[in-house]
Amino acid sequence: MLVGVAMGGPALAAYTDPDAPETEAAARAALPNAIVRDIAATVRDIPGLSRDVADRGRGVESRVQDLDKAIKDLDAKQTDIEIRIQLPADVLFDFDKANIRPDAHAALRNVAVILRAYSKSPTLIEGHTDAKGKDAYNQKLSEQRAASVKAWLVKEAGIEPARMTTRGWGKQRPIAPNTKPGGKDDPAGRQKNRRVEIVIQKR
Amino acid sequence: MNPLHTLLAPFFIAGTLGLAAVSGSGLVSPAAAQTKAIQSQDTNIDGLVGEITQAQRKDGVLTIRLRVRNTSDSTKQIRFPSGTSEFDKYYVVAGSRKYLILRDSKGEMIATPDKGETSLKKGEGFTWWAKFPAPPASEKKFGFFTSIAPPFDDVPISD
Repeated sequence: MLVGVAMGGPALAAYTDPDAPETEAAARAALPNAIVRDIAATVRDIPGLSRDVADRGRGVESRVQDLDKAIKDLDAKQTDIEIRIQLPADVLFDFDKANIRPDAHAALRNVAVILRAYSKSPTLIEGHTDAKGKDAYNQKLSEQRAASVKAWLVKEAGIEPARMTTRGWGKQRPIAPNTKPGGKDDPAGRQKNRRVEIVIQKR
Repeated sequence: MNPLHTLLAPFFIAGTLGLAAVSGSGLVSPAAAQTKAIQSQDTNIDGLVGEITQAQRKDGVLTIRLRVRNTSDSTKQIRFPSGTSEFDKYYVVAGSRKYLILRDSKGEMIATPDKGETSLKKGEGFTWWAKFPAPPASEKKFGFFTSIAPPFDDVPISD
């Protein structure tokens, strides 16, 4: 049996009967994304210890290596005051959707590595769209996408929700032209504009 | 069966099954708790016994039912998983691999929904369940790790 649970966002399924056809179907559908780990290569947090404490136990050198790799993999831009990460919306979400795609997990895990390294830093998560479509729709979609990224980081990576603020900008802050000089559509430009930006304030 | 029996039979059956009503998970009466345990051991809470009552591999999915019974004379509290980090403390080990609980496309665990703190009266039990990716058919036994008891080792898988 499936029960819908309202969580302030889309209804989530709760499974109450392991033998129900819906539950079994959901389990089979989940197999392609099953988490199976090689024990020898896995480092797990110790239950009861906070992630920060567990990370300290792994050694400073290891953390620095993880951080450097995450910054490099994400092509994050650093200044003295902030780290800015740009994540293409086409990687994070399906077209017109705000649910995180499984393919985006690796990138978001890297984001979590940086957030843990700057464990006290306020973080802004901003959603942006291209200029196609109605303004109100784009605004709402950008807000939902920013909120989805935050929710993933809280639920899957254990990042403290209070330090993250989300905001949607719709099409208001493009980083590339949506149209070519002659007024024709510019798909490459629009693709760049569809994005989520994460700004971590160093302090 | 006379007409009176015919009329009363459904009520008798319902009454008999009422206490033992178990769907997928939930509080069970002492009678319902008689389902045979595959493996049992003490939990970390004195008086509570953990019993694996199902370890079934089917269509690539391993379903585990874990019943916790209160064998003491007093009411006991136990915490079942609630939230991703707690669910991840319940996992299967087979061969040299670790298998975490399956999640659906929305990230929901395919397991007894967030339960958290649960109160068990004397003689009462609670059956918690979860679905995992099944180890390959060559693996006939597995270890089951939880946050409420020492690991269950060498649990046989039924196919």
